[in-house]
Amino acid sequence: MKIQLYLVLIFLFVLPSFSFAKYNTFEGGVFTSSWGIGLQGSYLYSNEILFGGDIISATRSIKSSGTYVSVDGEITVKTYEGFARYYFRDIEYTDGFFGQGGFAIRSWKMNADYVENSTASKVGSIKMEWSPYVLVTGLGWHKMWENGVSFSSSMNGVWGGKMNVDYEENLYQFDSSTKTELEELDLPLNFVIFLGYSF
Amino acid sequence: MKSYPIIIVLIMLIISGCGNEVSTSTKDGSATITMAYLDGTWSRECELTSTSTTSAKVAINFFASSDNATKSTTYYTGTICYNTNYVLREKINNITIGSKTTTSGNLIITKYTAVILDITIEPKSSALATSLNDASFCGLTSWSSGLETSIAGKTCSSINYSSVNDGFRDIVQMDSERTYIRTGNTSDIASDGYPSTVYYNKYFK
Repeated sequence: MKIQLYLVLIFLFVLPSFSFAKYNTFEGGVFTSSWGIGLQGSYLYSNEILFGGDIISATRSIKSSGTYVSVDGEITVKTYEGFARYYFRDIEYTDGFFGQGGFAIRSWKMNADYVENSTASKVGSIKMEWSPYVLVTGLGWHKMWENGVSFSSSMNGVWGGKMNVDYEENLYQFDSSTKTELEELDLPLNFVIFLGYSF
Repeated sequence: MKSYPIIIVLIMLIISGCGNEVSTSTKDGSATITMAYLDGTWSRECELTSTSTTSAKVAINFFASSDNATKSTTYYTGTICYNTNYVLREKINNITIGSKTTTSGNLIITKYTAVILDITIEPKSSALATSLNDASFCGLTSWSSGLETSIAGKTCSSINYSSVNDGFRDIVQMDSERTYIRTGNTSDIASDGYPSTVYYNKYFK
């Protein structure tokens, strides 16, 4: 909610100082987001409507070593998105404000093994898997400069997603606080900062 | 137009989606302990005793066919398990493996009960036997090198040993690969009579 609040403040007080200068038809660029780094391409169908798609990829290694137990795992997040965007051109503050909706195909997995240092025996393991198909909606702001450089930021949320967490307990039982902490990592929001070129 | 900020805030809150519905499952991957899996000799590595000038080695021999076990602690006068001094044997029978449960520290363990069959000390040298006789150790003067003498129900050096046929409660933990076991920490007994924690030291086959 904090990120959303900051975004709202940006929309209300910072962005009004900017406005669109020129709308080019095609745009491509890179972005960083809560779900990883990605590539995005789009086509401006009309003054208000844009169609786009992106791919996002992130792989993170999970490693930690304690006195008795070490954790070794990996989280892999690959996302393919297609979306349509509508620009609210007549807002008095800015004409780059948009709402968007689309479909995402996710291949998100996390595996982590807890191993006892002294014996290499398995203490337990955690597997997390997300459902592949979700709807994604969001709000954002987009600016294209006359030289073609473009920038956008948006906040997107997931609809209809599922996350399965499988615990295997070998020597220790995972406590409820550990489980709660993990289950809150369901990545429901994606905050995107995009930098691209329009032509 | 003036109402746009409010609309934006409302849309912002609504647009964040409903997230991912979380479902969880927990699989018990821990070893199910039976006498058949415990059967055989499990040994700990040589360890320094509390004085750090002598050492000891502990082994537990489980006999699945007769539901009994003997825990042998061999004490040495040297620091790396050389020069055997004496052997303390705690023998239990009628072992009943109980249910799998967890300790307060979330450790998956199995409780078991048994009955004390005997507790003995075997001096390994004549010099020690003579010394024990001179001191009337455990109130006994029949110590002899190489001979097991029962100390069940006696008090020796301020330690009260259980009597024959006394009940015995312990916990055991086995890794899921069944390569080692840990037993209960007898200095940390819970209200139900079972140890609350296990010794860190492991017994390997």
